[in-house]
Amino acid sequence: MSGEQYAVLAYVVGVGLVAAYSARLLVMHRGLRREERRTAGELAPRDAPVGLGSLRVESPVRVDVRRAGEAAGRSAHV
Amino acid sequence: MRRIRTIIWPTYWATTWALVVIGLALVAWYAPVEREMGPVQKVFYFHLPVATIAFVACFTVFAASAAYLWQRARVWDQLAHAAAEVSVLFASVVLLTGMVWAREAWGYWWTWSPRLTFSLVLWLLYVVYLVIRPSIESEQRRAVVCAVYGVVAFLDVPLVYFSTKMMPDIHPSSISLEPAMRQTALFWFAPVGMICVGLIWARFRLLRRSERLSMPAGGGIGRPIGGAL
Repeated sequence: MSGEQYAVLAYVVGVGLVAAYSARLLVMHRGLRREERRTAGELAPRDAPVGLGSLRVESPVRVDVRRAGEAAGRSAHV
Repeated sequence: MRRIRTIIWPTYWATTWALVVIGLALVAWYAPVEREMGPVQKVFYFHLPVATIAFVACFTVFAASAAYLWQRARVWDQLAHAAAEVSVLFASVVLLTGMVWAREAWGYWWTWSPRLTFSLVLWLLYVVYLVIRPSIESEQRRAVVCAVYGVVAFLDVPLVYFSTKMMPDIHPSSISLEPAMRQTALFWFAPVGMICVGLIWARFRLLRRSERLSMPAGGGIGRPIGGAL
């Protein structure tokens, strides 16, 4: 490599690292912003069922894990 | 606060990155090629400001840690945490750009000279700071341990700075520069300083916001500045 290429490499590595960290902070900011909006009630809670409002579960659903496992042809461990 | 988010903050970052672009243009076309080292000397214009500003970031960790031990206010612990991350980032950039320069100038990537060794120790000290933080569960205990560590870790900064003056070292201790070279080097302090301040502030704000989110309604885990001990 020539001296010029080493100089370019140094700038790419240096500025690139700073840009990568800035991007990381931006991603964290967006995640937090989403979480803040969710807490403020602007968004549906994270564990809300899909299609809330149109699909409504009237009673809790029970799943027999053992039977489901046996049906799948293997023993189930809970 | 909304104005900071929508106007001042984007303007700040746009200015910073515009200065980085101008700085790169100065390096490419304004600063002359050094006679002995050739084009690789141009790494210096970025390497020197980042190394100097890294000391400022380390000093922020030190000052915020000392302030925490004095006031026991959580904001100081969060500021120290934010500055420690930026210290690691800047120390990494210093080490990597220095290694690239050394490969061309000296013929090898690394040598255990006093300046390089103390710089590596500095980087390790702040990496360890970030590693020990999540390993302590109690928030109060974590803040105290990290504050003491943050104060002690800063002791390596004078060692890095004075190493070339006190000990025989292959690393250059002072360089005579032509006016165009000096102007380019001085110019780079502006964007690098702005990046440092901006990143510390951004990370600090993120830590404050995530703490506010995790707080139970109507209660807090920290004490405001100036609260009774």
